[in-house]
Amino acid sequence: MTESLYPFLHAPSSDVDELVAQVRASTVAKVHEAVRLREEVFERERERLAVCARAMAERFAAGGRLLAFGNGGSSTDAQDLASLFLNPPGEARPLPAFGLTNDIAVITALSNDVGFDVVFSRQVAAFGRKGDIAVGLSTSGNSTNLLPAFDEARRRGLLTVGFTGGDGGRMAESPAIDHLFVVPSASVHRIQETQTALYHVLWELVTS
Amino acid sequence: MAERFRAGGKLVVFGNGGPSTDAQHVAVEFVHPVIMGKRALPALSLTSDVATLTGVAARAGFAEAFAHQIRCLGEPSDIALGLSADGECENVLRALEVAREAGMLTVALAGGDGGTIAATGAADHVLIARSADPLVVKEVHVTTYHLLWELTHVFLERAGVA
Repeated sequence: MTESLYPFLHAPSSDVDELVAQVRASTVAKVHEAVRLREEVFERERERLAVCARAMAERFAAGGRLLAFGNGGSSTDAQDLASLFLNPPGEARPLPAFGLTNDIAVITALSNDVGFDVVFSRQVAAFGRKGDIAVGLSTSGNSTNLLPAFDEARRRGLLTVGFTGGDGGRMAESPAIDHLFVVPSASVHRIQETQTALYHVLWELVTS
Repeated sequence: MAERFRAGGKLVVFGNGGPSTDAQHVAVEFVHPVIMGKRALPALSLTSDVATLTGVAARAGFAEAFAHQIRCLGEPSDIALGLSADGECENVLRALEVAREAGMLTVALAGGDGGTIAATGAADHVLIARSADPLVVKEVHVTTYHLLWELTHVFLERAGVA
């Protein structure tokens, strides 16, 4: 695995200058790829982002709230996204939003008593009201706790928004997701970076 | 950073608001790598313990929220990584100062012009995303710490070289 990421690691040279030069070149290449991927995704998704933002703004205007969820790095994005709406920078109006990964008592109770696959769907069932917005983030689209959460959200009349990566995974096949944004990359890191830019823009469109 | 990990050190990460979620992201990045075969490295976010965070803030003030944890949990071989979108967060600055006194390697990811954190030289390494927009700063920081993680592993695996 390392070989494909950093072929020079396995090269015979042990010259420090050469290593640093190679590291610098690979870093520059990755940053260029991060920028290129954003441009590709925004060119393709600009109209759909606007449609999604309008639907979210209508929900907020009618008293809806936003519930965000994800696993691992995506859980931190879910919390960041929720906090961006709840405690925005500048003069933007705060909107009701919360992450479903914030309460470790709830997460461990559900995992221990029922199973990890229900940690988000049970919370959607507990908190979700018709008119709310459910936002789930995954880099693979295959998280087995996200799919039932979207199903539960759809059943309860929530607007559903999904972020995924690669080929979209099982989230791309889910009939329960109203607005799905796929970042076509094989790198989890590049996917997360572009998803961050996507939800930043979505927030700007919703609040503007 | 690779040298510190090799010497048995751990990474402690901290920030406020949006960057608090980045601190948790950095910690999980090192502890549970997304790339198979990469070893787990010890990393801890100082924003995850809400009991301690609110306890210290209520007793000693929010400026001490991270510094207190570093004083109690930090060891000389550790790395302190603070994130601040404008470089002005007092509790991040205090934590970096305490970490340096303890002999830790200090790293800061800042935005804007680097603010007080950059101006006072509070960290050994200050990486600045030069934008006044905290959302743009965040986007650059995410790429920055993804690369920091990768490069740490590069230098860990090339132990004899650097």
